[in-house]
Amino acid sequence: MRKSDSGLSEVVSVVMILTVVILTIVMAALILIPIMGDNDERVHNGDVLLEFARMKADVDTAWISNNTGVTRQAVFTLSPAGDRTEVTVMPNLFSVLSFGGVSLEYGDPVSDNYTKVNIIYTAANMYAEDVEIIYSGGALLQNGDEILPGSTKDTTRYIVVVDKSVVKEQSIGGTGIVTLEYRLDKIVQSGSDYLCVFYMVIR
Amino acid sequence: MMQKSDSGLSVAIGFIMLLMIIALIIGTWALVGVPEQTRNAESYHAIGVTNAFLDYKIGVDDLRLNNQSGVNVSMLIPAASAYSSGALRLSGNVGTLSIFSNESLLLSEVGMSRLSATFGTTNTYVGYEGGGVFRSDYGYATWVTPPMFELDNLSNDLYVTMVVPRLNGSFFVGSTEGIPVDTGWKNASQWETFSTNQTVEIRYNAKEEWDAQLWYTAFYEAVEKYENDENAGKIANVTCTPGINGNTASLLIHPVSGKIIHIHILYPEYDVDVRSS
Amino acid sequence: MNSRKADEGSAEIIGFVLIIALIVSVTSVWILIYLPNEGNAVEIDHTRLVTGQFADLKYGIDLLWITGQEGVRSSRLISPSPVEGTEISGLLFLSPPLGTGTITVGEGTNFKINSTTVKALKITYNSANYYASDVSIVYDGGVVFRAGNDEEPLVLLEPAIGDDRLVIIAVSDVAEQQLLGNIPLSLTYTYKATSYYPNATVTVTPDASNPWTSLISSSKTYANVTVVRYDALIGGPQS
Repeated sequence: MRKSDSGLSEVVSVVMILTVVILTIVMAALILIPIMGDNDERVHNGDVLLEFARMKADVDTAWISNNTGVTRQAVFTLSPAGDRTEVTVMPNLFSVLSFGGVSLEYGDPVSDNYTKVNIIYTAANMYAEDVEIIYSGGALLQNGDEILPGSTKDTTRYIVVVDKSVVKEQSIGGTGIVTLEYRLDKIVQSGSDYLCVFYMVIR
Repeated sequence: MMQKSDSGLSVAIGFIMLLMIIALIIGTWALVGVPEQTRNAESYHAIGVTNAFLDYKIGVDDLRLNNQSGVNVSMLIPAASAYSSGALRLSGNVGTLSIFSNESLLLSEVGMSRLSATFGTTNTYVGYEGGGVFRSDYGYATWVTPPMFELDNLSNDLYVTMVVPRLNGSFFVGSTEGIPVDTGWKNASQWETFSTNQTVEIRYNAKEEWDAQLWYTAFYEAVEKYENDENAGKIANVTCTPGINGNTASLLIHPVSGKIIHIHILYPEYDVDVRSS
Repeated sequence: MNSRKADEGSAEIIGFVLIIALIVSVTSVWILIYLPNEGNAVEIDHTRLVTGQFADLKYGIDLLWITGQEGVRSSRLISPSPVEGTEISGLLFLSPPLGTGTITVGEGTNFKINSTTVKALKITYNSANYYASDVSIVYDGGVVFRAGNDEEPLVLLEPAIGDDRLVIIAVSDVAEQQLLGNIPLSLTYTYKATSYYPNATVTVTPDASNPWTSLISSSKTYANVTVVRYDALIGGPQS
């Protein structure tokens, strides 16, 4: 009788410990991970907006100073997993499946060879809302709302354009980073607007 | 009784194995994960610092091109990032530039100044030297944008144009925040021009070999650009040879049958200072 | 024999209770120590971000007058607060609640140039921190400084000042504006006009907390004073 009792107490303790462990894991999976993942993705959405705003400012600096021929770079992080601004203990395992993409597309045509350039970031988030950030010819939009307007001089607009025969449309997706290289080629006048002609490519 | 001590042993063994697995995971992270994350983070931060130096170059050039003298303009160089501190250094004499004509000194030696930043593990180094911005990774340096050094064919005569900004000042500042730099353009320097039909040698003597390599690249690419120019093209009786020998980079221009070489060189001076925060 | 059985039974219960106690203590350490530390770090990092944004803003404003591009309007982003966490943050284990900061645009230091009064363009960021101490970052006529609750104002970037020349960034026609937000706001600035005052004496109303008082000795005469006027506007997203 004593032997079966002592066997029983071990089993009971194992079962209770297992129950606690399973409960913890389940709570973690159902509550903690989505919250952390959601938080990481919101922070990442904000980071990409800052990266785009920085790119807009640098592109503006180039044509304000008529700085032709100098190639500059802008880096965009596609997903929280690709975040390179911190050294984390647990590399964002929570957003393993969220990814994003950056594409370089032709926008509205402005004259024969030149079109506005659109650089678009789309997110495919697992937990947080998806965000779409568009840089269009000098203005910055997020989910359809204009965050930063394009630049003007009195009533003349400065539009950032690319030459269709030189710059190709591209699209890159994934979880790492995308680098945009751009260079001011020239500034031409078209009607009442100034066209800042850039060479752009994404890698 | 045997049963009881056995069941105690298996729990102990299980626990120890679990601890070993955890130790393995932490060890792998420390030896592989952290250095790789650090390398990625530094590489990302380096692009930000490079962009700041390009902005600096644009600001400094704009001051001169728009005749804005008499004021110091202040700019923040974000050498530090969230995870590491950074340092900014202005060195006055990292090399000397001289121009010889047939072995005799045409232009007296001019000291080259460099504004540079390091951060984190200091494997990456970004700087503004001679009007160009360079980036050096693990000892290998390339120009992000080259200095103003051009060879042009104008009416079949060779024109060499150089603008070499000189930064007056000297400092070495470290910080965990951005470092403010004040720069003022002195409206003093004039263009110096020489014309000669003798062999010209433009020589850059660097204190460090990678710096000589950098300037050799600048000379080489200026020659390439001039020789492959679609409009004017090469001049027949003039040969341009870039060369490198240890710490000295040189460009030899050899005219034949009386061809004339014109050299225009400008050394704009800037006062550069940093305020310690 | 009876006592042995009762002992064996109670050992498991004790083990279970100890494990629960361990979980509770870990959770309380998390909430009482780790969470405020995280919040503090996030808010300090955000202050660094805003400082960088103000430095970029100063660079953008300076670039326009240096290149003489009158009439040009450009814009930059300012983030008044760190990115918000989830709605149930603060209650559960993860992201701490983050405050909403304020951005104000209006008139700053009054300068008297000979007998004309000129008002500087002033852009202020006021934080609303829960964990770190509150801080303001101010752009005033070209100087960027940081002011805290107890500290002296710390000048981060100096204005365009030289031995005989001074450039003041002034307001053109700005009505005071204040926006509170937790999403990034746009700051649009337009370079409107330039006025030159040769051989002018510049006075600033003495005020201990204003860095201009230590930058310009009272009533200094400059060979060349340039006042560049800007319009500035803060805005949220426009659909």
